[in-house]
Amino acid sequence: MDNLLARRLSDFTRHGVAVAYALLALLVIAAFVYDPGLASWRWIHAQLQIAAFIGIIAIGQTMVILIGQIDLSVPWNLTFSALVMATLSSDGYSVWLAMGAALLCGLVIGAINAVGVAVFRLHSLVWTLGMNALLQGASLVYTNAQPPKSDVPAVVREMAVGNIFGIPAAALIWALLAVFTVVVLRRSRFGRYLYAIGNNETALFVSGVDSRKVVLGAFMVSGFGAALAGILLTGYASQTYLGMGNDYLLIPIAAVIIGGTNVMGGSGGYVGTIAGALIVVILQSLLSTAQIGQAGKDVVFGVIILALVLLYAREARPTD
Amino acid sequence: MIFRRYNTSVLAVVALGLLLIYYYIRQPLILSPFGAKILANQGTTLALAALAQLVVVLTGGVDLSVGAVVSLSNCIAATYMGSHPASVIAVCVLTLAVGAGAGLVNGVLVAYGRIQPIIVTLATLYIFSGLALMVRPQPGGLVPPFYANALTGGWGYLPYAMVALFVMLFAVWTPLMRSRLGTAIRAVGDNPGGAHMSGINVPRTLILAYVMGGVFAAAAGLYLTAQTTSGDAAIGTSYTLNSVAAVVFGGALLGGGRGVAPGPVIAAYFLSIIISVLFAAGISPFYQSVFQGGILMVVLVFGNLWTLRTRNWLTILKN
Repeated sequence: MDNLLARRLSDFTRHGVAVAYALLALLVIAAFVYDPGLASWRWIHAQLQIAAFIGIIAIGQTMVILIGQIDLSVPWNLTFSALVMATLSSDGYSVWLAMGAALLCGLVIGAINAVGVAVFRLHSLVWTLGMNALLQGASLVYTNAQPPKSDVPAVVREMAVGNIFGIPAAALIWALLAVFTVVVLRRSRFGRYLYAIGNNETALFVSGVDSRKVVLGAFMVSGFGAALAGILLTGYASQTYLGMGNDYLLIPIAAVIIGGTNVMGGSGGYVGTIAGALIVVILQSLLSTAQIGQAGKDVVFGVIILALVLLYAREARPTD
Repeated sequence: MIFRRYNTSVLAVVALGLLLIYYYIRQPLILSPFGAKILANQGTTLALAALAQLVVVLTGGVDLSVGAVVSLSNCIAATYMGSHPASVIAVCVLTLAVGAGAGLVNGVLVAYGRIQPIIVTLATLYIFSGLALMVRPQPGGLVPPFYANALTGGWGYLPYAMVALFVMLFAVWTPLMRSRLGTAIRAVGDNPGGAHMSGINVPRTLILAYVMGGVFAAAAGLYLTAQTTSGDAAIGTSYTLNSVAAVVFGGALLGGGRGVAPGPVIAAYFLSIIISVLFAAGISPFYQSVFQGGILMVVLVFGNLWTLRTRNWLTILKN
């Protein structure tokens, strides 16, 4: 019975990834048909650039969702870390130190998230929601609601909007991290343990693995990704501002789910998430091309996410 | 015996009591008809939002769209209300109907769409706040003074806010939760499989719970409209977090099945009033979110401190 269930689940996952890439291909074709002017390197270049920010956040979010949790602290973790970097660099510290401090910030926030989930056994949904509010307040207090008006360091700008051989640097960073993530998820012990926790944490614990450390790892990756995205977005927008992370809650989660990762954890992976990230970015670009305002965009986007989830990420019938 | 059912609310009651005593020492004026009115007005929106959250939490879900429904109903009410009593009443009914519709969407997607409540309500959070922004792109609107007075005024020491809350609590909430529906909601939250086996229609129960949540969230939006006398598509954002915090603080069990109304309602007043207490104590208003998030996290940790004392981690995993 369990075997059958496992087989069905793994079929479903592969199916989900295939669906995600098919959807991506369809979407690209639809975009080019809708507006032939889009079929240019410039458009693809812009999509890759924005997808990189979402994809980097979605690395940690994929891992956290694989263990059956969720990280809702991304928006203000991103903002807070970016603010730390901006204030340090405008206070005259070196860029590398400032970036290091921001990334450390993200790691610590991720670790606190993990302690609540792994040690106190709290539901990550409410714990990270509380963390998000705490960081929102902390950002206001830290900056006195006046974001630093510093010049963004050249290195940060280069990382976010620079090009290497015509390819956005941010997308190359994303590609490197993506390859690393896929290898870690598929080949490393940590990766296997992530899936194991999502399926049955007790079984993993009984076989001698301290599952708490695995949870710690997943949330720290998520915190690190949020901080890194904060740094890159600072370079992209040439400024840090309060609320810069607000758009980065639903979208990376949507990328993970569209990519075929099971919301309850245990199956899926980053290969699908890559397609998911590209899908959400192209959808957003199309909505912008169609001249739909922010409000309409939010509505259409929410509806599309729900439609896609309905299409292929439904749960089993609870009463079976 | 009767008190045992309300044991989980004790923390909120004690906290609110201590807070009010401290507030009274700093600002004796709160013990006047005016002070009572101010205090009551402050927490009523969140109390209604907390009830909206509670009914969904009782089914074992979480409703992240509560804040968006509060915004949406605030925008609808402030935009279309007009100044004639008949139109005011009609728009109030319409707003509650929109809230019910929002809850219906959530409920159908959870029950028949079989999507996780977190994902459904995260997506509808965007949809409903987008709709709110369409109804009211800029803050503003028109709210007749008699409407604001009827909900935020007072008669001696009796604030009308309390009357409004008690009507929602004793004329709507209690009868519904004591009915078969209430029992079914708790049963589904406690054990959906068991509820199904006992002949409870699980999807229908889930949908009705979300509809009830939507109506209470819309009622919160209507109260907020009386308080601010204008509409603002971004005003409800904080009510998602704070309603969850009130429900947790009020002793309801995330994961479903357990929780009674008094706890979350009193916790809602605590969480709202503490902001003005901090203000009175000279702490910068920027600390508001720090305290709201911090209180939620501290309450959560204190509720689960027992995990540190457990010798065998396995017993925890099996829970």
